[in-house]
Amino acid sequence: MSDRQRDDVSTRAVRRLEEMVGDRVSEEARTDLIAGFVLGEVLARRPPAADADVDTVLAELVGDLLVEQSRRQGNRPLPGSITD
Amino acid sequence: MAPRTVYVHVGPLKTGTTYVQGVLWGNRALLAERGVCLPRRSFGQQTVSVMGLMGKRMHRDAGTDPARGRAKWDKLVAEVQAWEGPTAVVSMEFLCEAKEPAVRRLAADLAPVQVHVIYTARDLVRLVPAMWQTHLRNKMTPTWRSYLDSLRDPADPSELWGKRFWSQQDPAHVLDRWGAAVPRERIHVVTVPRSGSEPDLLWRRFASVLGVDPAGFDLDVPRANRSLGAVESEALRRVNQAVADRVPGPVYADLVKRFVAREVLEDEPNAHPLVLPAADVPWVRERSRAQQAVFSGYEVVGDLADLCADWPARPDVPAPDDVAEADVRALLARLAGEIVVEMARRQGNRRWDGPRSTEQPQPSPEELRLVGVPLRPGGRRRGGALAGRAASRARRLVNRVRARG
Repeated sequence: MSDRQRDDVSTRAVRRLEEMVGDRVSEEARTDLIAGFVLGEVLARRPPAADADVDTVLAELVGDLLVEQSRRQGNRPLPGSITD
Repeated sequence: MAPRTVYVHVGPLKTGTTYVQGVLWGNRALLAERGVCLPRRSFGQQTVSVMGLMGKRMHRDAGTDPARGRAKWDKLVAEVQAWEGPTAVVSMEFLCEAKEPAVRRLAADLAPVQVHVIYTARDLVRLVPAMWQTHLRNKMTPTWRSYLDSLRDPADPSELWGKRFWSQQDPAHVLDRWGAAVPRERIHVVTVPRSGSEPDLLWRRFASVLGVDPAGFDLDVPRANRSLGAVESEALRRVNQAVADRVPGPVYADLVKRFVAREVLEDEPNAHPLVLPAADVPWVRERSRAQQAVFSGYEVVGDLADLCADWPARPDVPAPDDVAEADVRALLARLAGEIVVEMARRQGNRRWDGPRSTEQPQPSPEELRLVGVPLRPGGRRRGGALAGRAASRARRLVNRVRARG
């Protein structure tokens, strides 16, 4: 698979993610989270496998997103959230 | 005058404990009016006290101080002793794991108040899937098949789930431990009504043991976790594989247990309900009958037939290990979208203004006190204490520098 094809998988995954979140997320936060973190920090560091489809790419992002949110919270639960 | 009796509800897990505790804590004032003390100010405080008695921590990742734990337990004892009504009740499902020294200490500390034990018993055919899902909601990653095999043959050293399960869920073991300090005539077995029974039946049975009129209680209590379907369960198992050794326990509870499992996966259509496979029903039924025989030696409130009710046969439903890979990936893909929405919400729908992950990578598992994450029960972390203390010092230093800056 060429870099261009691989980029296409990433691009399609990102487009799909943007469709899923739709207008539930502001333009500012979408740019930060999807263009910035997903595309710029995860997929740039770990390009999708050659035979990956969009669902596979997005499925593999789940762990990255949760770990990133943990980091952004200082690796602590948000006040008021359950800790049991 | 101290109360005459304290009822200690020992669970076990997944036997209606969340419901019973919800009714108790949601009606604390009414219980007090009817002479029943519910010691400590909240279920969380009562849990911490019980963990102190048992010398356990709330989280695997948390630090521990035995003296502090004992002090929490002593507070519970003092509140029970100071109560002037006839009855007190403590309900905490982890007490099913209490070892004999803890049981003896509980009875000795609470004396002269007489200790009675309440054991809630549920049909194993429904309990086994519920227990597996409980493990999945707590970072664990056993497959459904490996879990069932381990329960069927707990002597198999390659999997330790069965040993742990039966330590908690075999009344012959649990009640034997409690029998070290509580005579048989003070142990009460309450059966969990079968599916489709009147919704307040379990409360009425429980209240009858306490000697409390069950009428007038608000039974609209927070719901327990809803069962996940086969696809959702497998998806959660994979989330655990991805994050178990990358986020601390309290954050896991916040992000995965609450958000992913409760707010997203529980709301999925649940096209394939999780039920015990038909091939496993015979050996589970055999264990149920053995439990019925054990319970027949105790006072039973309810009906022992509840423990061998009809199996919810769904031969057309795939097990979590057999669901289509495409279905699991599609669900995880949708989950990724929901997580992005939640992340945006948590940062006020604005751009994150802290350091990027490329500038401030996530601390190592050692720094997060997650070294050697036990993905099986009984496992121990390696080098956690020293690494954890070093990480704590480093974090404090960083925070001080940031505060000055």
